[in-house]
Amino acid sequence: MNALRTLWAKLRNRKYRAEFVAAQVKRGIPFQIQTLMKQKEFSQEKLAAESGLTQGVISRAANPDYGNLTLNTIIKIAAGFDVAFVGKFVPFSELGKWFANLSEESVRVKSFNEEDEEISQALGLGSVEQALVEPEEEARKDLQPHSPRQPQLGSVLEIENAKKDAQRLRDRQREMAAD
Amino acid sequence: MPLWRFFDYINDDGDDVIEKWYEAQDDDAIRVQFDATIFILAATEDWTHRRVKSFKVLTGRHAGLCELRFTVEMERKKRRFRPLGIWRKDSRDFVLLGSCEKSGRILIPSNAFELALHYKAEFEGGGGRIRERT
Repeated sequence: MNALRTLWAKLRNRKYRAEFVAAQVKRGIPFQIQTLMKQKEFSQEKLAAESGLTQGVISRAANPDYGNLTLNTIIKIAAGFDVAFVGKFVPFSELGKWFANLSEESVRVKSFNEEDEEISQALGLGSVEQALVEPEEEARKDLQPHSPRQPQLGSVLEIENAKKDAQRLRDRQREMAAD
Repeated sequence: MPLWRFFDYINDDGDDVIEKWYEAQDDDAIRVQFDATIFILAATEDWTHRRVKSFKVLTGRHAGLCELRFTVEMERKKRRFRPLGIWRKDSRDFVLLGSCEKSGRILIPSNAFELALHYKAEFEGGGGRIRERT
């Protein structure tokens, strides 16, 4: 409460608050990148590979004194961590609270896979594996001799696509397990 | 709740030495970057991790002091600042004893490190007092 009170008094100065917005982006985002790297045990090389960027770009992005981070780089890094990035205009009260409550815990983010099970359960969806295997089984049934639906080119393609998707998922899971 | 707390050192003459420096800065950008550096360090578990660039334990003739490090970009010029203090790992806090700007090998003020060492000795000898910086 005290931190927010002191900060709010400073934010009454327009030049200060404009600079503070810049500081949040230039220092806050590198802080979150560093925290997520620690959380996920990613090296700069690993994050670079996952993001499709070079290690040098990651090094600069995680440096709070660099200051020239682009939105494209941030979006790629979000994809590398498999998390979302929300860039939006907010009132100063929100920015003030963000800084006043700042901790490594407060900037940790679950990746899509980490929250998928929980969210899918809440939404009544099956697992990703099921979502990919079921169409494959459905398509197989269509190819049975007494199937009500005659085999068509579309069904064969569906099987092949479902197989490829399932294989991609298995490869991805193996990669994640190896990491 | 921050992981680390910051304190201002108030010397035997009753001067809040870091606040005096803070107020004397010629641009709000310097004050903002100083505040943001403190907010982020307060939330950072391990200051000695190689990825943490804003903190350094000093050695040699400045042993016992630590410096915070931040840069302010102004009109295509980068200005580097070094707030100085005592890092107390056990009590998880940092006592700010002063600050300076570093321009090449020149320090502004030039005696910033000597003053910080003087205040450190004064404080450790039971002089002065500290006040939490919020």
